[in-house]
Amino acid sequence: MKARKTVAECGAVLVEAAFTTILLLLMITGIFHFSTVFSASLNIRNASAVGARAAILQGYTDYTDNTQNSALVAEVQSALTPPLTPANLSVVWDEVTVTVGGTPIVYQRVQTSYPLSLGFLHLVPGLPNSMTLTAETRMR
Amino acid sequence: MNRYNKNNNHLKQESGYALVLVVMAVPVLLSFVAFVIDVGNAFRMQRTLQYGTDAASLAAVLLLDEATHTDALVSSDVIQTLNDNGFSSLNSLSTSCGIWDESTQAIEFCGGCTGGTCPACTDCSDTNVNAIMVGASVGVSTYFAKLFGITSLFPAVSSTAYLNTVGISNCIRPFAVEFQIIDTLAIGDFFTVGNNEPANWGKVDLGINSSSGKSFEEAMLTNTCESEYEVGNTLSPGTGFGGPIRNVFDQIIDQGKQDMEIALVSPFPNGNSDVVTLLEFAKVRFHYDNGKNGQNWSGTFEVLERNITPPTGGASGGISPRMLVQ
Repeated sequence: MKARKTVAECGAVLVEAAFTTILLLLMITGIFHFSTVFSASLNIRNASAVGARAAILQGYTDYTDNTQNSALVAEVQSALTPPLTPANLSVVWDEVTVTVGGTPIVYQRVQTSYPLSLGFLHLVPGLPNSMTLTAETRMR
Repeated sequence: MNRYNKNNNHLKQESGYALVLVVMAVPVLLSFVAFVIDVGNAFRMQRTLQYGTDAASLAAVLLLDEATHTDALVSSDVIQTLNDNGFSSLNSLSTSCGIWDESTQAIEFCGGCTGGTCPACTDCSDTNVNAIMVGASVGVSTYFAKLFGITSLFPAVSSTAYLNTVGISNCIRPFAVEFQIIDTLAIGDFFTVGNNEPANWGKVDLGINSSSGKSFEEAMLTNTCESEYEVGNTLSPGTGFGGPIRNVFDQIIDQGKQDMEIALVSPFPNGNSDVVTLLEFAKVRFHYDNGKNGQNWSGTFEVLERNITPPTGGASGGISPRMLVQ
């Protein structure tokens, strides 16, 4: 009788380890994904600001000019840092006019968007395997 | 038997320990995660706000390049730009104008002088100001820290933008001296213009309406010009001064804008009433004048660079280059 009880308790540590490991892995995965999204969000935000600054300070004067537009897009993409891939960054440079008290204010607007892969999360049914991060900066 | 009993007791005693330890550790670990999320989110908002204040200061500093600008106008422009970048509700916002000091790489704020050499300005409406600092903080709601009574964090940022009119000009000043005066000089040599008949210096028309003393003064202080010129072009000296030229150079000293790119031209005709030919661009530093005015004005300069090519970035529209400091 005693021997059977002992055998039954032998797996307790394994079961506890299984539970705790799953819990810890979930936490680690959550931290990993949160920091990835957080870092990517800042990265994409920074890229749009770099583009807007370039648009107002570095002689990019006409967003309809394909040459200028391509050059600015390349500059914005080059501002992206690893692990993000510059080629995956969508950049839109245009102008937006805001009227304040009858006075039009023209901003150079740079919008960036990036489809971020969510790594392990796509293994969980029902969860998306990617999310699109966007950022916009207006300067004049 | 003893060994068996010992093992059995060991299992009995330690069964569930790992789970207990984990249950105790999880709240601590979760607290760390919560802290990181709340503080990380605040840092993210701080960074985003930084981009907003960058945009606001760069937009507002443009106003300082215009002939008239008021405190209210500058402040409302800052608010508008922040609003258009997604910051309609801020915890605090401050806008301060001043004069950029190249030597210290900092703003000398108007009105904040308690001793020493004070900046020659009182507020943003002063024509002398060429720099602006925008400071802001935003309330960021916490997700977890509110359990401990901390409902918001308040990251703060500031951005400084200035018009880079000192040392680097975006186009030449509407001022020329005769080429022959400095033709044989070396870099660092001093030369004096004026006290000469016919005059060996004069203002030149760069496309701006500089026939009035006021326009000439503004163009000299802001490096404004509307056209690009090349060596070989002819320049009109314009007509008259309409105002005391000495005041212009006094202000150039006051504002620290002594370094300037000027035109070296063929000899001025009698009375400065005919065109001159542009022979070279040079960078010079104005040091002092002789106290006289009008046609009798005389000033001493230092040769900084010869045969320069003036940057053309602001030639159309006359906007000074803007610089950003965070």
